[in-house]
Amino acid sequence: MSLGPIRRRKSPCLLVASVQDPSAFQDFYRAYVDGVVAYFTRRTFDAELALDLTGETFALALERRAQFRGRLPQEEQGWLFAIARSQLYRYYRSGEVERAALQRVGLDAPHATSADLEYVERLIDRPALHAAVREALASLTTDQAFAVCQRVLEERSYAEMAIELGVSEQVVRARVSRGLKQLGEKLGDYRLQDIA
Amino acid sequence: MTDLPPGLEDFGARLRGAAEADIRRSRPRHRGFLRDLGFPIAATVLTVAAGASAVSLIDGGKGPPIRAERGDGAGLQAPKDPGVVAASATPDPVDGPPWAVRVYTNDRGEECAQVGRLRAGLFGQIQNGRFRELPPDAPGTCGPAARTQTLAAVERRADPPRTLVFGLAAARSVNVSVGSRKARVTPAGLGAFVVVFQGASRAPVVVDDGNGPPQRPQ
Repeated sequence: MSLGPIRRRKSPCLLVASVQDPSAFQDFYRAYVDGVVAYFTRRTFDAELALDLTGETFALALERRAQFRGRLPQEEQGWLFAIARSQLYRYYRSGEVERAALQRVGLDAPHATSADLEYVERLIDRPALHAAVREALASLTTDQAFAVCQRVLEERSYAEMAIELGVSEQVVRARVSRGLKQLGEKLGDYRLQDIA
Repeated sequence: MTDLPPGLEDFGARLRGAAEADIRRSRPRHRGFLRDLGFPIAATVLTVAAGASAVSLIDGGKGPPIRAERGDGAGLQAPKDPGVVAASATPDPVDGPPWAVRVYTNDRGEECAQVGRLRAGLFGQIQNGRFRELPPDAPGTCGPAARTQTLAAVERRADPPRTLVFGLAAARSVNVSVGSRKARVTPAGLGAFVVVFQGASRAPVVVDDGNGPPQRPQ
């Protein structure tokens, strides 16, 4: 996925220039915000959550920009996505979006207008995502696909499914577990496409 | 550059405003950052002055210490308010005076840290068996005053061979590793810390204060 052109400056690295030039930080944001939003959206499937995580990521980047030791656009991109990954892991661990950096710099998270939400959905390329999910489900056995769909989409209990299928709960759990693992491996290839 | 929707465009403009405010705040101060601090530091900061000997030290190096001459340093403008954080004093793993961190503000308003040994109230290092005071204008490792991540540096010394990881922390504890050797340190006043490893190791150094991606000072 294209991340947009990098405007040429005295320093090829926007982040380095932004230590003294606030417009360079805004250019840095514009150069990479698409990629960061897409990164979060593909991993959370929640547009508003992705925007919140994006806000905190760029607030941290603003605070820490003077600590960046690279010189190349690729390095600043890697640095930024390291912060983004850290925020995603914090969210996975706590179930909440960190907002400490936003508060320190005195900002609210991006406001999610309907235009912003549509924009985010376009970034994740919904048809491609649907195709990826269909393909991943097709790679499961019939038993696994049924068990995963019943458990995840219909939220049925293992006990209920075991009775219906005439097998033990342990068997049902194993089908769901293996099915989800297989789905994760298949969809992992899809998620890797957004960042080179 | 792509056209952003209104919420994201507005956020970008607000980020620019925050960057402007940050740059204004980071402009050099002229009063010295130590006096700006609002928490008691007298108990933990020893101002290095001629003949000061306020710290009880393990003696090391033969003979009397060699005092610094004017111009022995890198020729930088003399920094403001250099102060050794006595509470950062860390014993050497083998012998000799303890290691500690000296802090100062440079003329760009950045916070700076140096590492050295403390002996008889002087901050310096042992060279050729003699303790030599480090001149006040010796260069340090510097970072923005309004830091949210630890300022960390590594120095490798040959005689005796030591790997020193030091800096000014932005967290209540810092994990340091040199290759497979690990240590956790609780920073002293002003966030000053120093971890001393035997051997001048070229193994990768990692400093993790839990506030973001671990740092790898070179």
